[in-house]
Amino acid sequence: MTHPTPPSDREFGEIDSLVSRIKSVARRLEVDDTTQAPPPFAYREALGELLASPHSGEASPLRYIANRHVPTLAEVFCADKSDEVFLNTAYRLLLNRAPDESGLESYLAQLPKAGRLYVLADLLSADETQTSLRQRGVRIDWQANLTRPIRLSRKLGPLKRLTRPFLRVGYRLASIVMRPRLQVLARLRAMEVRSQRRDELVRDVLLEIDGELQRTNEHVSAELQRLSEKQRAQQQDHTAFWSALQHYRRAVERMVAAPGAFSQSQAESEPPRNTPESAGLLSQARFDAYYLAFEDACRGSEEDIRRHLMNYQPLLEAAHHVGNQAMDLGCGRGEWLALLQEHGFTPHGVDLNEAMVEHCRKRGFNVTYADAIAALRQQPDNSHALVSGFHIAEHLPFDVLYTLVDEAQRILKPGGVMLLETPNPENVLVGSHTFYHDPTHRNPLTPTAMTFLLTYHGFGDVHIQRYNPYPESAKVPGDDPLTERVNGHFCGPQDFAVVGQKVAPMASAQESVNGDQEGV
Amino acid sequence: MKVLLSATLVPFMRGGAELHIDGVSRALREHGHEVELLRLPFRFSPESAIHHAMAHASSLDMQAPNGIEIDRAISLQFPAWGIQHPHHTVWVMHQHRACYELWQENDVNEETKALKDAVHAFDQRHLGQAQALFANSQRVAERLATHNGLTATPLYHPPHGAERFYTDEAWDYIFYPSRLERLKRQDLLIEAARHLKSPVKIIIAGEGGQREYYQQLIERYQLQHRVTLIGRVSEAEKLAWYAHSLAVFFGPHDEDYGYITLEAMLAAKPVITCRDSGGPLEFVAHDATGWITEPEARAVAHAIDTAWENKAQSADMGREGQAAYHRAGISWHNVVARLLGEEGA
Repeated sequence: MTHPTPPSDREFGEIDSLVSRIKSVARRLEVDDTTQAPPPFAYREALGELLASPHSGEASPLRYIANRHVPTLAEVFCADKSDEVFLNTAYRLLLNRAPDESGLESYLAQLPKAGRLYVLADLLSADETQTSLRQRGVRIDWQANLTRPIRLSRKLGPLKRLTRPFLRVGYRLASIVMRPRLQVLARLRAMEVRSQRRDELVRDVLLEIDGELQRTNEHVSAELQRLSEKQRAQQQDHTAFWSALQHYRRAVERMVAAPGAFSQSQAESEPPRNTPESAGLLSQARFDAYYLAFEDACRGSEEDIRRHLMNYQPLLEAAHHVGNQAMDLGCGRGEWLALLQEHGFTPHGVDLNEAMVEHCRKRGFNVTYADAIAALRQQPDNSHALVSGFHIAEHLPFDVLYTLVDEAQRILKPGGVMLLETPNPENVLVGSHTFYHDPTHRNPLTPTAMTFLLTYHGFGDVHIQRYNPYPESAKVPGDDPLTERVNGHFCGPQDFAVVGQKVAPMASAQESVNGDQEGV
Repeated sequence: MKVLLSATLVPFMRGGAELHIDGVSRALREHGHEVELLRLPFRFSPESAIHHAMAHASSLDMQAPNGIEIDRAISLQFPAWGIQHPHHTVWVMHQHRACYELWQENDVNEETKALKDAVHAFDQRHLGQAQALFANSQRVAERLATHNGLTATPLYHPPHGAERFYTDEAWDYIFYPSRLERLKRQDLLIEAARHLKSPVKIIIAGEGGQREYYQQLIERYQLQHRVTLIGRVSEAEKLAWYAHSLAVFFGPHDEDYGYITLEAMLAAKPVITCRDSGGPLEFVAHDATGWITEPEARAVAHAIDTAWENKAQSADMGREGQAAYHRAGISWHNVVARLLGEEGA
């Protein structure tokens, strides 16, 4: 048994407004009396009538009668109208017909002498009038007073002819006395009717506009939804295209990799030493010690770094959905490894700096002293949830960087996350100055270039996250456009990360790649 | 030709029959015939009044009253079909229901039993003698076959003002215009509102003896925000209510014909009706031009929810109903041709 929830006022309003809207539609149908459906924007007709001058066209006085079954004296008297209009109105209301020619002529002749009250009293005294009133159930509350003199004179029998001239004068005088009051009443009545009609029109127009707005609104939101769905579909197509391309590239590489070429590629993968050319003058051990000291001096405290790394927590959660194997390339002093471990990952660090490796191992981390590419190549396909590299990309020649991204894509599981952080040259001071503090840096990398590199390798949802702007105190004071631009270029974020997620290959691409392999 | 159209008159009780009689007489005139409408007064009680009415009708020889030859006689109602004419066509609107489909076997006395026998005999004789026998609907023809063993051809006619119906966008309500009577089963629709999952409103138009009962039902279930009795509506309002409805409900108990089905089809709206509703079933095709459900509140509610969930499909079903109406050839022109035996001419 379901219990009905008590209805709200709004819901009651809804059903009332529905009834009003239908009545408004029906009123138009009655007016048009056509078989046509009301055209859209039908309210404009009502709007037209509303805006038209109230005096345009002489409306029938019958229109201003509040209730034709109980007309008032003022309404029949038509004080503000011509004699013809008065006679027409009186005949319509009292006899329910147009005046006959002779009646019209005779009354028009009598009106100047006898006045309208006399004509009304005379009409009301006729048998035809009384029959018509009875049949139609029309009530004339004022007829007894009005016809009393005529009825009295009739009682005089043959003498009544003699009383007529006096009666006419009497009625005439009464007409003259009452006319100003009746005129005011007639005008008032006409205004009331007009205002009532206007109220109706306003209500209709508002209801219709409301309906029109709702229709438009529904139409527009449907259109917007359609567009955004289309856009999303295109976006997906786009990502799927890059991902498929990556799969085909791999397939082709596997096919052309002749057995002889294998040893050559092995040879290439010997760790390239990214130390200065003058390594001969400076022993590796001494350089490593220098670099560790440099790091300590320039990269800020471990606590600061840890605080910064916490920015990437949402990525860790995303990666955790597909597994817990994480590889950090250029793990340095292991701040990131610590964070990974805390978040339930099994991190594996790689670094080429023996002092750094030593430092991490002391902290109990699994760290390999190896070249990044070689370490990646030892990992099986689809094995990792996360591959990261903080401030390593800018140390690598492009062919190595390209291979690093390519290999990372290979070892990541679908849904796995790739993260590369590097100095942000959008900040002019970084690009021209601070970037070169580090003697092992090569060239600054731009967000655009990095985005394309990941997209090209079939990563989806590739985006840039920017961090570490100069402190507020370093900025030029002011908020005009020039100051903002200066602060943006000189004090903006000093680092950025490019992030992408490995896209699950399209079933068709996967099949076709597998098919090719079988064919080979 | 001179056509005598005979029917009955129950003073000051106007309903669908009036419109039907007017429609036939107007159509005959428009086709160039002279029509005299003969309406015999009729009272539903006491039983003796019905015996007298049958005897009176049977006594009327209308072949050439006062020497004026009448070419054809067409009769529509009981007992007007008792009149005598050599070219007599009867188009049975419905029989005297109290002695047929509304006969209560457990509420019988000598008088009602005698009346029933007399009415059956009267129909047997006069309907059997007619030169042509038509029924207002398949349902009425079925009853003539069951009760009287007579074969009548169903002959459909358009509802009043058929040309004025139009369609417009749906405003999420179900419309049910009908007299508020137990047989029309507005309570089925009201109860259905309790089970609705969709926000559809229920608009019930019409007056009748059950108004108070239905209003109490709405209040008891606290459905005032969903269901409303709007009373009598003007012709224009009726057209507008049809035009903007999502679907039309017409689920009476064993209806003879029912204009509402046809009016809904003319307004291109799907019709929700019930398995035992009679007349509507001749026109509504389940899942094509409407829904035929069990006469049960949950089933009706489900049909309404379906109409709301698939609005585009509902609109298509409405249009399909409109097409079906026109395919069925329901027109006064056709009615006149069939009644006068001129089809194919």
